[in-house]
Amino acid sequence: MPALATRPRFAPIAFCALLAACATPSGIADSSGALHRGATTAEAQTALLFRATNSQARAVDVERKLLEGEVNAGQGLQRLSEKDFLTLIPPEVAGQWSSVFAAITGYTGALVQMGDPVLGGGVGNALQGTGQSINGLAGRPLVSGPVSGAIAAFGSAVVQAAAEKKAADVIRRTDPAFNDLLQAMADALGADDRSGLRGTVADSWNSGTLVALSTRYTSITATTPQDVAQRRELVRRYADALDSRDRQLADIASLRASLLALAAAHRAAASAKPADANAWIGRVTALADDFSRRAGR
Amino acid sequence: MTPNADIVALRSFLRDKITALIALQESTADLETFRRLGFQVMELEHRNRMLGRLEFAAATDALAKKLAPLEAGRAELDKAIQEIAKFKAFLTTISKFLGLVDKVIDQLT
Repeated sequence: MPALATRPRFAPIAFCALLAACATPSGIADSSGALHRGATTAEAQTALLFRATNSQARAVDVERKLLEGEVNAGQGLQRLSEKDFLTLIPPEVAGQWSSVFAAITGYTGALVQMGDPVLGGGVGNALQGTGQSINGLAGRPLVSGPVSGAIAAFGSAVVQAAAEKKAADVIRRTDPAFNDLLQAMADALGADDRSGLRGTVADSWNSGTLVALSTRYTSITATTPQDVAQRRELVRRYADALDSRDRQLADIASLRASLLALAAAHRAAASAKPADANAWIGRVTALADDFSRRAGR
Repeated sequence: MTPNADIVALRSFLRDKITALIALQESTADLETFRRLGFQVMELEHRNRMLGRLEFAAATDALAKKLAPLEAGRAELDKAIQEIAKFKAFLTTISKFLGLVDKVIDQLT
């Protein structure tokens, strides 16, 4: 049997190149990378939002206690205790959201690994090493350099294609559950100022902070310079509160939109539409950028 | 009625009361009544927020029950990644073994 090195070299190289071309990635790598970035961005957005929400809840409780002190002045003992202060999103609930995001980013991270060319490239390198060892053992070039390189490229592409096919299968199968989960997260945040966390935060501003400030403003009836200064300060705080309320509600709406865009991006990836997936992730990124700009105000 | 629906119904009731109290506060001309109504609104809001916290916690609990398919998907991907890594390790081992055999042959010849 003639050694491989003595055979025409063109045919195997062309064959391997053809097969490698057939195994060209379907775009899962792009989609999964974008999905992973979108998920980690939404996670960071959520952590910021929860902190801001708890700060607001704390501030409204301070206002309530101050108003209580003013309304009940001279009517017995005024008491202050921990139960007067309500943490709207307690650590255990924030921890559960972290766990949910850990599951999401763990999944999208594994998708990224499956789409990483390094995964197939490692096998290609190992195949090339095996070819060189065979040559060493034979004492002559049984597997020529170009053929060895083509085999390595082919092996790499086949493994990559198999990995991407697997990733595509998993994305397709997981898609209904992924969308269901993200829709439930979006619902928990609330679609409007009457539902979910957004509804609670809206109430907290409208029936808490704003009522406290307006009640204290009206309670000032004298016209001494000190009273005028107090009124001016309350008007300023009232106006600031209106702006803060609107920003916080916009932040919740933005996070909700990000989660829904992430779900849509996954659906596009599951339908092998990487361009659509990237468009949806572009939306997640734009929302996150907008959120960061407002967070850094 | 699920517990979550109970919370939602109670919140709706509280919100109606808050709206009514705010309307009453806006219509009164008596300062003391105005202040007391303002404080009552805040007290109701505090309880409304307690219910909001329960509602959000319940919604969060429900999320945990939806994670299984995602975790199964991840496990499947991790397994595939491990299999590829094993294949790569197998090829590397073969290379090393062939190198070893090569050395033995060198010593024998």
